[in-house]
Amino acid sequence: MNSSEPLRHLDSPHEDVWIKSTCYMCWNTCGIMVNRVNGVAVKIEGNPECPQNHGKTCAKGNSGHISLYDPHRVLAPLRRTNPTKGFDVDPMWQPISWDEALALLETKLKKIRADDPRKLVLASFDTRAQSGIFWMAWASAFGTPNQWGGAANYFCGNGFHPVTYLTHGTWFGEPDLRRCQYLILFGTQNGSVVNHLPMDLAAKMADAQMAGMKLVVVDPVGIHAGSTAHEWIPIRPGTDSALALAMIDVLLNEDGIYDREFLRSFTNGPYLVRGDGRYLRDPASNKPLVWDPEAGRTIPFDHPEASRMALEGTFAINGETSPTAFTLFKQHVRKFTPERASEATTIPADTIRRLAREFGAAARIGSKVTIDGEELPLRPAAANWYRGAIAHKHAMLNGLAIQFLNVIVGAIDVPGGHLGSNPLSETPPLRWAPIASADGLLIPQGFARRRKPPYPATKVKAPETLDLIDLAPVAPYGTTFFTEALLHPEKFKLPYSPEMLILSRCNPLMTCANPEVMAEAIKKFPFIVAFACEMTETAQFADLLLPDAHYLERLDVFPNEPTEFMAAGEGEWYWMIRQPVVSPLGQARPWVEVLYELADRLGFLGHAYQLLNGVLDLKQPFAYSATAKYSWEELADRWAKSWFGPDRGLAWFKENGFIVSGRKSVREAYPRIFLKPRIPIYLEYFLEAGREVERTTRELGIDWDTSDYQALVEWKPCPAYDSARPGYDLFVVNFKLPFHALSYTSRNAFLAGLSEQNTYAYSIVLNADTARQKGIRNGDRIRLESPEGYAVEGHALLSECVHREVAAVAGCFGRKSPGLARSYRRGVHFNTLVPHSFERIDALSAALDSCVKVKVTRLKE
Amino acid sequence: MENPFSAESAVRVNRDLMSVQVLYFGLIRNLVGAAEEALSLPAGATVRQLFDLLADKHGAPFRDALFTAEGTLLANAIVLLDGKNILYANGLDTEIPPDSSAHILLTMTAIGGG
Ligand code: SF4
Repeated sequence: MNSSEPLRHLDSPHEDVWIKSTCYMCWNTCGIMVNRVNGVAVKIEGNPECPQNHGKTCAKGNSGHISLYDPHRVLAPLRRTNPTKGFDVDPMWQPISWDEALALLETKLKKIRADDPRKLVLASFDTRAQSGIFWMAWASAFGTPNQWGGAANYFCGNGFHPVTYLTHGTWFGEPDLRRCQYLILFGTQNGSVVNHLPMDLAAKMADAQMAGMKLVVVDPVGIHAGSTAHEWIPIRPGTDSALALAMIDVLLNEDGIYDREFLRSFTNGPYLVRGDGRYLRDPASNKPLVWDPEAGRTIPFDHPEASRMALEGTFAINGETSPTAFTLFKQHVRKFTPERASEATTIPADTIRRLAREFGAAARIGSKVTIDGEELPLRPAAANWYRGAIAHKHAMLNGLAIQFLNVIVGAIDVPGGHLGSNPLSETPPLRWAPIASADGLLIPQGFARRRKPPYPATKVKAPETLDLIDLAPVAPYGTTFFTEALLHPEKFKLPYSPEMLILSRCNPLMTCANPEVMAEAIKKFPFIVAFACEMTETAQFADLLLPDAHYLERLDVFPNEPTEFMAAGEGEWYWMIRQPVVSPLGQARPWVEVLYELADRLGFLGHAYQLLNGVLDLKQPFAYSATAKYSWEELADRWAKSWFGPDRGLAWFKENGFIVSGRKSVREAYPRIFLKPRIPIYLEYFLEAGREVERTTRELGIDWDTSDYQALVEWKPCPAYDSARPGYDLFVVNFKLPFHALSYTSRNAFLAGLSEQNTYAYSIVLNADTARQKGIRNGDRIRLESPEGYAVEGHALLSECVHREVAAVAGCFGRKSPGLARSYRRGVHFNTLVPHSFERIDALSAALDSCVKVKVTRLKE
Repeated sequence: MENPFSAESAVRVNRDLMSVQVLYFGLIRNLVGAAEEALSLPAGATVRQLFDLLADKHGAPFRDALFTAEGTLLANAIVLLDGKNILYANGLDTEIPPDSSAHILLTMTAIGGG
C-alpha cells in the first residue's frame, strides 16, 4: 500500500463503518467498536452496549490498530538459515512461500506423529475462544499432551485459581464491589486497569469508593492502587500470608469474630480429625464423622441430624481424642500473632490488630439482605489477592491463607463478599453446578472445570508430559516444571525427547525468568515453528517463522469465558465475538486455521471435529461431521447455532457483537447458601497427595520437596530470606502499569510514547530514604545485581510510594530483539533478575518464586 | 429344570445383555491403541460399570488417565453417550440404553493465568 493512501481516503471516505468486536490487547475481553474507513482501521472505542465494559477501554485497547499497522510486523513466511541461535545472532532469514512452509511442516509432523506424537509441543497463551479451544482439540487429535503456557502463568494465577476452585468451585473470583464496604487487596491492583476484568472493576471500584467503601492496599509498591486507596500498607515482599494469618488469629483467638454458622454449614470445619491428621471416618460408609452434641455421639457429616454438628471442641472417641478440623485451625493460627507477623511483614502489630478488627466489624456477621425476594447473608467485607502475594515459593499456601480471611467471616459467594466467577449456571446454553465429593467437598462441574481443578487430586505417577503434572496432583498447570524438564531431562526420565515446538502468542524468553536460562531451555527443541505478528525474542529463535494474523484480522467466537471474563455476582450472561475488522495484511494467516489445514493434510481433521463436538457439547444438526471439511467461519456458525438457535448464527453475531442470554438469578449470582458441597479449611487430602508424590518421586529417584502438602495453611519465608550475603539488602519487585500487558504492548508506538512520558515506566523505583542513605539521587544511573550474578541497569526514581527494603521495576521492558526497534533495550527487564531452579518452584502450584534480593550500585554516567 | 438351549432362554440371555460400541478420541487413543471396540454389558448397566470393564481390560494406565485419585472423572475426560455429555445427565451413574455408542474423549485441559 502506498503510505499516502489512507490519508487520501480519509479526505473523501466512501466507506466509514464501525465494527463490533472484542479487544485482545491484554488477557481480558472488552467489547470494542472499530472504525474502518476505506478498508483501514482508524480508531478503536469501547462498545457502550457491551455488559463487559460498558463502553470503556483502556489506553492499550485504544491503540490496537497501531500494532496492526506496525511497520515491523512479520508479514511473510521466513526460514532460518543460520543454525546458531542467540539474542544478538542474525537468523539469516530467507523468505519461503506458504506452500513450501506447509509442505515442510506436513513432512515433519507426519514423521513425529508416526514415531511418537508426544514429541510435538505446542506453546501458546492464546487459550480462550475458538482459537484456544480449537488448537487444544487439534493437539489432542494429533496425540500430544504437551502444552506449554510459557507466559504469565509462570507465577500469575498459580496461587489463585486452585484456591478459587477449592472455595468457589470456579476458575476466577473477585470482590462483590456492588455491596462491599471494606476491601483489602493483597498484591493486586483491582480498579487500576490491570488483572481481571480491568474496565468493569475500575468502574465498580470508583463507584464503591464514592459510596463509602474503604479500600486498603497491602503492597510493597503504592504507586497505582495504593495511591487511590484510603490506606496503603507497605509490606515486605512475600509476607502477605503472614499478615492474613495474623489477622485470622486476632479474629478467632483474640476477638472471637467469626461466622460460626457459615463454618458449620459450608466448610469441613466440623469434621473430626485423628491423631495422624486424617479424618475420623465411619467404618461402614468411610464418610468423615462429625460430633452430634445433643446425642453425644459421632455421625457422618451428611447424616439427617448433622445440622447441629459441633464446630469446635475435642471429643473422646474410642479411646482417642479427636478435635474438629476448625479447632485445629484455630489453635494452629495462634502462632501467627500480630507481633510475630510484624517481624516478618514490617507492619506494626497495632496496625495488624486494627485491620483485623476493621475487617471483622465490616463483615457484619449475622446481617441479612433481601434480593429479589430471597433472604441472604450480607457480608460486606472482602480480601482479594493476585500476583504480588503469590509469585512466591509457597504460592498456594499464601493464596489459601488470604482466602481464609473471607471464609472465616462467611464472605464467600454471598452479597458483599468474595465471589467466584459464575460457579453455577442454570441459564441456557450451558448449565453447570458444583457437586460434592464423597467427603462432601466442592468439585466444579461443566464449563467451570474446563481447566484442571486441584481437587480431587489427580493420580500421581511417573511423568508422561514435559510439564511433570503427574507429579503435581493439585497444581493448575506445570509451566515452570516444563522448563526444568527441558533443562534437565536426565532428572525426570521421560520416555521421549521433544522434537518440535509450535509456538504462538507467547514469548517465554521475556515473560518467565532470566532470558538466558529460558533461551537454553528453548534451544533444546531441534525445530521451532513460531507464528508471530512481531519479531519477538522467542520468534528470533525459530527455524520457521510464520506470519500470524493480528486480533483485528481474525475470527474468534465466544472469547469471554464465563468463569473468567463475565463479572461475578449480579448481572447478565453474555457471549461475545471477536471478528476480523480488516483482511490479514501481507501473507499473515490466523495460526489455528493453519493448524486445521495441516490436520486435513495429515488425515485427522474428522477426529479433531469429534473432539470439538464433545468439548463444546454441539447438538445436531449443527454438530461437526467427521467426514466434512468446514471453513473457519462455518465452524463458528455451527457452534453459534447449536448454542443459541438457528437464527443466531455467525452473521447475527457479526452484526450484534454479543448476545445477552439471560439475567442471573439470585442463586446464580450468590450461590453459596443454595449449594451443599463444602469448602475445605482443613486440607486433609493434601496429606495423601503429598505421600503419593513422596513415594513416587522416591521410586523414580527424583528429589522433590513435599513439605507444603500440609493440612493447615502456613506462612513460610521464601528462599531469598535465608540469603545473608552482605550488600544484597533490597528485594526487587515487579509492578504492573495500566497501559501495558505482558511483553506484547511494549513496542506499540502509542503505548511506548506513553511510557516515555510516564515517570515510572522505564525507571528503577527506590524508597527515597533508602536511596539517600545509599547516596543515590533521583536520576542516577544504577545497577541491580542478584546473588546469582544477574544484573539490570536503569535510572533511579526516588519515591515515598515504595517499601523501604524494595527496588521496584515496572512492566516487561528492556526488549532484547533488535527487530523491535522502538522498545529494543528501552526500560528495565525485571525477569532478567529471576533465577530458574527447582528449589524456587512451589511444588503445590508450580509457581516460580520471584522473590529476589539485590545489591544496588550507583554507576558513573 | 429349564433347558438352557431352548429358544426362550436364548431370547432372555440376549435381553439381559446389551452391546455398546466404544469409540476413543484424542489422547486416550495413544493409550488404548485402538479407535473403537465393541463390548457386552448387562442390560441397565451404568457408565461406571462400563468403565470398570474397560479398566479391567486396559489396566491401571487407563483408569489413571481418566480418573482422579478419588475416582471422579478428570476435567479433561469427556464421555458422550449417544452424543450427549454424561455430565449433563447422571454423570458416571447414567444408565446406558441398549445398543448405545459411547465416545470417550481425552483432551488437553486449558491452561490459564492472567
Ligand atoms: S483492559 Fe484489556 S481488554 Fe480491556 S480495553 Fe484494555 S487492553 Fe483491551
